[in-house]
Amino acid sequence: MIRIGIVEDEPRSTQLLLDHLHRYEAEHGQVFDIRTFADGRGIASPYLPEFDIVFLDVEMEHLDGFSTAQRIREVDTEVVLVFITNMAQFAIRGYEVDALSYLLKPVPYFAFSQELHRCLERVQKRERSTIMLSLGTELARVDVAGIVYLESIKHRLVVHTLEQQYSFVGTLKEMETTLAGKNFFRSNNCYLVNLRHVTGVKQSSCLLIGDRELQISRPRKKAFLDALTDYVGGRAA
Amino acid sequence: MILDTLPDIPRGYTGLAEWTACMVYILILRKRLPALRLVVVIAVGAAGLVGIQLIAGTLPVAFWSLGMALAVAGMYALLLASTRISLRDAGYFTARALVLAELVASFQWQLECYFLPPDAPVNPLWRALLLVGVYGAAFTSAYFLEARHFPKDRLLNATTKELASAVAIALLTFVMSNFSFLNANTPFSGRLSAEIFYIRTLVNLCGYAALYAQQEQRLEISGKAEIEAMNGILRNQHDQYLLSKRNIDMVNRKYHDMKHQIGIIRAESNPDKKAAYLDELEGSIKGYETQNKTGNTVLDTILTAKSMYCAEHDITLTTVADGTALEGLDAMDISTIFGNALDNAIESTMTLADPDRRLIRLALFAQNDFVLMRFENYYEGALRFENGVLSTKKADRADHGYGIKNIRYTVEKYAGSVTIHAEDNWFVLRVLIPRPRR
Repeated sequence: MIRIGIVEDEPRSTQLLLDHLHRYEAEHGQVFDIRTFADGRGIASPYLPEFDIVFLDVEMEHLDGFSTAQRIREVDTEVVLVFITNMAQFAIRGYEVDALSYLLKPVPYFAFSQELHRCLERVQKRERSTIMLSLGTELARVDVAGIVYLESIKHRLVVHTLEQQYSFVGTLKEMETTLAGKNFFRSNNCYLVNLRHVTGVKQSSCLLIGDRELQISRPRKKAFLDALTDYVGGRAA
Repeated sequence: MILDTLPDIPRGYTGLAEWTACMVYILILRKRLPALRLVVVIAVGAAGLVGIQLIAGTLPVAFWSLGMALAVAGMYALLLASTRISLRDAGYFTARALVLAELVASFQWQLECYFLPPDAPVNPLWRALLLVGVYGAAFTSAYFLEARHFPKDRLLNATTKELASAVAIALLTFVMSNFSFLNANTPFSGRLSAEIFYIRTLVNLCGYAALYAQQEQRLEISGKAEIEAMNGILRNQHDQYLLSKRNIDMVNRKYHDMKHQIGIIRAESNPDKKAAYLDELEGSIKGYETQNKTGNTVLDTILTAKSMYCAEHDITLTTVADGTALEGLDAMDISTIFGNALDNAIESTMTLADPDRRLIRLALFAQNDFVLMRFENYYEGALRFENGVLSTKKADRADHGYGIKNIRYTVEKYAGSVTIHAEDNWFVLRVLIPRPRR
């Protein structure tokens, strides 16, 4: 079940959000686990990472929305934060706490439902996925997010993860199929790169976490950049 | 007729040349049908064109022009049925295909008459080989020459005038090249039988060259017009930016004036109620000062102007923007990207009847060595993609899609990328620009 927090000091505004949430539940056949807090201190001292989505009023008396968000982020980088505000300019710096959108008061249902829809998608996308690699006689379960890139050397494949390397017999083509839809990109004949770990691009190469540099073949450069654009600017709410 | 000594091109050859010429253009242009049905249409076209020629060959010479008219109609129908082009453009391509077919057929027959004379006892295999070899080489080169002229992602949109001149060139070429065959007794007819094949090839070559030059010139003119239109829009965005900058500076000055005046009034009289009223007054203009402080003054100006416009038109624009991420970008480029993207979004959302649905979201942030800009707007109804490129609903054809084109052009200067998607009723434009490493 999706766990939602509402942090808002005006009871009327809290009630409006609750009404919207209940309407969304009824319209989409969903059930939410909702908890409300009358102040930032209520949720953030100390914050326990037990929410998927938190709606945060920006203007609150004791601990304002921004400070609350910062405290939440110290503990939980995953939870989706959505600011609720009277004044647009108060939320313009939301990028600092990875809150890339906000809702204006009084929150209309349509905008709310669109926003919630995205948040739910983002929550779903976050779910960790793993793949099984057969290394000769044994099997290894590898976290997809931890894979930096895959490299093909003759008939062997090397999977470079953040911690270690796995080497086994296989082809990039097979792995490309296995990892389809997980934001990997074939940058040339011998590399399959996880876009999550791309930190920069140069004329004919890309930079990866840990200062590794991999070649991008010229014909794939444009498609690589487009895929990267969609990934970086992805549906992160 | 002077063809007592040498026979003219066999009708089957002509039909084949006409079909292959059409194929050259069909391969270049965007197809109208899925693969399987396309193959069927093309096969029917081949049978039809060869059939028309064979039947026309049995008719008396008086019906010669009728036979040719039928063949041209067949080519027109084949092009129209298999590619995604307008009636007028199909005419333009038919004219080109006809001259190309005539040129290649005439050239091949000239070679065949020289190397393998029709009355000589030659193995038919050699004839077939020469036919396939010459047609293959000639049409393949034509394909590469023409492909450069007709980019897939752009519609031709020939004007009536251009169509008329292409048809005139084709018609003239065709008539001139065939004079000798219809009537040997004109000032323009060759009398030496072998030479007339050469004359025909030359005339056809001239016709093809004329058509080639015509298209070359069209491209050049349209390229110039495009740059001009883009420059016009660039200037517009920049003018707009300057204008709103002036307005906002003025508001800021006013703000300071008023603040000063309020101070004086407050010092002079002391009733509580009046002070409260003055506080309220101050609060009401406070919005102007604090609006859109993103850390980039150019962006602030654009955002302020656009959000005022949005407020007037009941559009909800929410912005999360780290203006400092734009450091190193030219002011003109910032105004091009944000101005065009927001104008597009505003224009699209304004068409929505329900103001609650007029939603625009803007996000700008830096991540690693990238700057990302994302413009999203809610839309209803279908978006039209023309030739893989989004086409706007703007009535003014000259402005057609230039907004997005302008953004692409600007972003490419920074080796960045622009993507456009429609996702769950949201139109999403993403821009990624790599930042130079510090």
